[in-house]
Amino acid sequence: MAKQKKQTRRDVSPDHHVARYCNPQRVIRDPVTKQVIGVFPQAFELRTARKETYVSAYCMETFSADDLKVQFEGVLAALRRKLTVAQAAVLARLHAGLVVEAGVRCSLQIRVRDRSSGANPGYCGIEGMPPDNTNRELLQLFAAECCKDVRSVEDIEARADAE
Amino acid sequence: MTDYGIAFADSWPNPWIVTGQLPLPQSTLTSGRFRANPAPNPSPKSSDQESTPGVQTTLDEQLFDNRAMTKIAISQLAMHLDEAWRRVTFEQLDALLASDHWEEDSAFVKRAPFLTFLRFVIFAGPTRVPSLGVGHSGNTLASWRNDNTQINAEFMANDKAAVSFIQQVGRSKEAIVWHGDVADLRLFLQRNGVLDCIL
Repeated sequence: MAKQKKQTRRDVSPDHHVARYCNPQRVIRDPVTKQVIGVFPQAFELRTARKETYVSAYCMETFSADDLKVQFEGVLAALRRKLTVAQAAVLARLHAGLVVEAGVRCSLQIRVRDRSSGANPGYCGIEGMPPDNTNRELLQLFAAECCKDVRSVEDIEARADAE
Repeated sequence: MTDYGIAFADSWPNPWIVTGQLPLPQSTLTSGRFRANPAPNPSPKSSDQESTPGVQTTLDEQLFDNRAMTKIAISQLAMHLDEAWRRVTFEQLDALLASDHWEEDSAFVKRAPFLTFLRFVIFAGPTRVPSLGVGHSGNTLASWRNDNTQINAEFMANDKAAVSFIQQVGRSKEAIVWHGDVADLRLFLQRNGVLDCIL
């Protein structure tokens, strides 16, 4: 029997961006205006109860080379195939190169690797994170330095409807 | 260590500590009779146990009880808190514990971490209302920000807290992380020159 070829996952280009779906409870909103400001570092924690080994995300350039709107809509459509998406949830857009660099700053070998398939285009994982979520510095860097944009599901839909 | 002068855990009435005091023994809950019923809570977190009054039938009821727990805790400190602060905080809790925003990895607000947060509020006296959140394990999350800084805090049980923020150090930015007793948090923020972020 022919030996099965071991699957190799390529790294997401450091110039690309990945979108992370964030639960509404981990979204930072202005307490008065309710405008989305950012996400809590805990939005990038591994879910230990599920024994996650990587943080799920989507490579945004899979859906469009440079149109941010199309990228967000593409990620949202891909997510909807897998789960029920809350209106108050947000997509956090992270720079893949900065994610890897944040790992270096925390003495960790963080990789953003492609995990896509025909049924799940753009799917990727942020790998190499401590399984117990103890590295708060890394999580803070993800939330504050690597995160370039935060957009609510409601906002993405409103922009799509506006066209 | 500075004493707050408020011993919540000892003096507060606690109608929520009914978990573990239920008339049904644990073995009964796992019997086939009860297993046949659908699980009342879609979130399987152990963190839910503390603030969830035992046998419930719907998620809405559990969320109602969880919101009530947090609001009663705040109202018992009403004399120390500005009316607008309470109103905005109540609104945030309503949004965080709303059934239409509920997801598989959402968590109920745990009582002990929430009381730690309130201790900090009373002791440190932040005038800015923080943006609130809930961690995977039910810890209370809070974020304060001004033009220069954004402080992210996680309040845990047993008066513990963890804080992180980004600070400009020379030409580069560094993530500053602190973990310790909540009584020392104000001093930590003061020493790092970011206390004004919460005031």
